[in-house]
Amino acid sequence: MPTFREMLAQAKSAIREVDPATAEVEAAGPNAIMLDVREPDEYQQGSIPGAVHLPRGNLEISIESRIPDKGAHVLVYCAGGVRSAFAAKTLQDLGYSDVTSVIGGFNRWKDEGRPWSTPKSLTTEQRNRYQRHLLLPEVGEAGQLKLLDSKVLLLGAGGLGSPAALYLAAAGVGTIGIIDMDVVDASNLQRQILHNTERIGERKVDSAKKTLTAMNPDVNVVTYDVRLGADNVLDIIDGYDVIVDGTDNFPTRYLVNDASVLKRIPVVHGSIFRFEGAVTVFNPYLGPCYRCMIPEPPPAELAPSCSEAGVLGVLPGIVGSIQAIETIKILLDLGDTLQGRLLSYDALEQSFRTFKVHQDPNCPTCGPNAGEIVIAEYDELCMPHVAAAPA
Amino acid sequence: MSPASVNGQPAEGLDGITIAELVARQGLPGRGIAVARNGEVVPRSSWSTVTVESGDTIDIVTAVAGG
Repeated sequence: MPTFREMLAQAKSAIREVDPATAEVEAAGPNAIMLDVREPDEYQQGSIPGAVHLPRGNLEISIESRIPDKGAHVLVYCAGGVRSAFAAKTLQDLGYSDVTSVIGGFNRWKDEGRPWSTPKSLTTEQRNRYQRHLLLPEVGEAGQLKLLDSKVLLLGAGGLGSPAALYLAAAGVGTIGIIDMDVVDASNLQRQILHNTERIGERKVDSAKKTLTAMNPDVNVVTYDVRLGADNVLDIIDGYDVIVDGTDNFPTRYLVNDASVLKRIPVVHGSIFRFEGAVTVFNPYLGPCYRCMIPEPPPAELAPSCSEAGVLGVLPGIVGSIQAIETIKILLDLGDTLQGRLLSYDALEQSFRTFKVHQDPNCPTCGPNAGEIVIAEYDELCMPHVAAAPA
Repeated sequence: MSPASVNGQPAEGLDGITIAELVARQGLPGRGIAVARNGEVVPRSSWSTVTVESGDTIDIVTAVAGG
């Protein structure tokens, strides 16, 4: 039975080893891949940029999916050069024909001042929390890291904002902005599941922040306890990746449309009324905008609000959840979003229908002949503002 | 050919009329609605030129703002 020393000597005699200086040169060559076989906690503290990370314990199981090319020039490193020697031997046994172990490993590489960085990766807690996402190849670690790095702004912490915010927070969207100037009222609790009885009288944004951070401490909740208006809309939406529109009136929806087209931020639009809802995605200049679909709101007498006409409490749960799905699809570039399609939901029929929506060449906001977009308050007619003629 | 339908109801006498005329006949306001012909929303700027043909499926969706 060989001892550890003998096994190591045996492995080293069967493989090629190079010092870090040579490894650095070879890593820049054609078909070269650096392979880090250390444990996740070691990798998280620093690694060689661009290296494939595969802990030695999973080497045999996963190497063929991580490095399918068995002719690749694989430069294996660990912390000091021992585990990498064994790993290199294993790779050779698996048929990898051009494997090299790095003498002295990452420690010597780092001591010699060669480039390294702290890789972005999920913590052990995050790996556990987002496990069901990590199992989806369409999301995976890269997708989850992208969600954690994403910024989504929710307009309204009400019926639609509640389920959307809860699911986006649970999904690990790293920054969630919420704008709402209301306080929690008992009549909200039939559908606004971010809030609860104890929070009656509290500012909705504060209540939302408590619920969301309790749900997922990874999420940074940014609150805006203001009325969204022409004076602040551009500043507030600036820097967000996606806007989830769950506002409750037409003037704000047209204001948001104009501002988002100007800033080129996609909007996931949701609206509800009694037993019906609608969802669509407005992606500035790539698809239709709100005004391409509905140039002006209905007359006020034909457009009562939910506070006047009522709404089934579960309805925003359906519509807001679909908005959350569309948001994640946009962030991760997954599937087909509702860009250019209006999804219409009827809870009484229990039916979904979709209608294609095209960019209107005569759209006063995003059409090719539209003038400069002017951000100004809308009255109930919501007619587009015309830029002042140049003097 | 079957007659055109509006929101799932067969409607006679619509062949050849424009979407704008259809909206007026239905007694609807000219604003705040989207009219889909065979599953595609007709932009408002085309309402006076696009016509209803025999067998068309017309859906009228009223904009709502609730959230």
